Amino acid sequence: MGTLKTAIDAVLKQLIIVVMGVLLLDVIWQVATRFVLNNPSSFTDELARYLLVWLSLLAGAYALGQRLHLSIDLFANRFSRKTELWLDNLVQLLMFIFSFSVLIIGGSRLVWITLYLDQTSAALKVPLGYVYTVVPLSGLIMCFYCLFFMVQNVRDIRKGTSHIDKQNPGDIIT
Amino acid sequence: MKALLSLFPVYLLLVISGCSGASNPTIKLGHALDTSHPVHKSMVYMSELVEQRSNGELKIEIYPSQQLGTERELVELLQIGSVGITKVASTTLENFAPSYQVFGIPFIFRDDEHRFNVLEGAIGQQVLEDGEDYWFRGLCYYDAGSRSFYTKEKPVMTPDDLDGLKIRVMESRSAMEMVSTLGGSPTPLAWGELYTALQQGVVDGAENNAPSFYLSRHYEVSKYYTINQHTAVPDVLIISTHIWNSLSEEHKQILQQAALESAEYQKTLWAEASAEALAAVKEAGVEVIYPDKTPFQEKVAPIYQKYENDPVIGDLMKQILELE
Repeated sequence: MGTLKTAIDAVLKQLIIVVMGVLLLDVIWQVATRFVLNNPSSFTDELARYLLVWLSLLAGAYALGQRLHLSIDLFANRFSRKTELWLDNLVQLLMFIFSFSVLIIGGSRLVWITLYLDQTSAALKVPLGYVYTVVPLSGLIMCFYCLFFMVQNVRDIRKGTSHIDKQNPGDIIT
Repeated sequence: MKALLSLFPVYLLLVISGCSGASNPTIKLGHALDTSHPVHKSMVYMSELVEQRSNGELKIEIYPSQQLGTERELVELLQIGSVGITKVASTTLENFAPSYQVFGIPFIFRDDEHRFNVLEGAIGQQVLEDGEDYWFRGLCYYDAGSRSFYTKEKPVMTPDDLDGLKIRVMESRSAMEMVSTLGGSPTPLAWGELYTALQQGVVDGAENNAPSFYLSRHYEVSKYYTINQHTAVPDVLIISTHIWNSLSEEHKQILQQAALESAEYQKTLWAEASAEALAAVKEAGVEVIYPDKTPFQEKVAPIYQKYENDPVIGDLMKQILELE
């Protein structure tokens, strides 16, 4: 499971870099066509919007895998290591439920409906269903990360160790 | 483990509350307009009629001002069944049901009388029903007047004046095509960003009907309003087919009738609002120009040639042009 996580991390990271790069070029092109060429491009605005959707959902999943999301650890820090790990399991479970029911189930339904009803975007004319596939995709990745952390927590509880750094919860002790 | 088990009721609750919407006899109506807008007032009128005639059995709850989402989001919510009724510009519907493209063709209507004959006749009804394949059914059309150009620095007298001007358009293929055929550079931009864009010179002008020009206060930053009336895209009131099919025959009739009556009522409100808006912008120092429409009409001829053999709207276009 650990190697699978490393692989997903690496692929996701590359993907986010590419999306961010394309987004940057797209916005530069938009400004250039508007003010330099004086003939605004019609698709850049829409492309930027959909790239931002992809970027935020994928990077959100990535940040979950790196434990980079904001969290209030005021109470968690005061508990014993074991309780802290159980508490983290609860948090992971809640995130799992959300990702599974809202992102995977709800997202798949959204993709299916928009593809079935043939909805297309205004400027690029791409089926919106393809744009929305990122919702179940990111949900799937988030679910995997949550499961991964839960398994790791249980292992740590058994062994009496912890992979969560007390001083700096964003860092994972490897 | 106890902590995990104790979560189950919470999860169940989430699932149950997510499902209960469908059997609710109250229909949710969401739209993007302000409560002072004639269309909102007509919807209130409609909901009163519906409640009165169904003896309170059927109720419509109105959520104005984008509370439930923007026009496009509202249509998506409506297809899922989360929102029952919404009002959208027919341009928004182009991306959902292709027949609506026909109303976006410039100068497709000869005058207001022709327009109402089309919309209230068989052609309008056919387009409303075409939406059913895409899970929404049209109830009626609301008058949205006709759209004209307004510019910041240079008055537009003929299509040649549009040359090189950046004109903000809606997110719609037909609107972009219309502006580029007339010689301008179409710039798709969100309506909410337009005031600043005009002020800072991101765009040189935009196009809309008089009440929108006035209510958005864009007249403060654009001093010329050219009434060339290039398009007259109607607003459409649509209902989700999930909700529509769950209504009894009697309720369907009550709702349909109330919608049509509210459309009649809206026409008079709209005419008043247009006249008021035009007077107000003139007072604010905007130069209102009434140009000769013929050169504009001649310039968009290629759009007609392009749609002539279109499988979806070619026939519709011909029917509209042939109608008296």
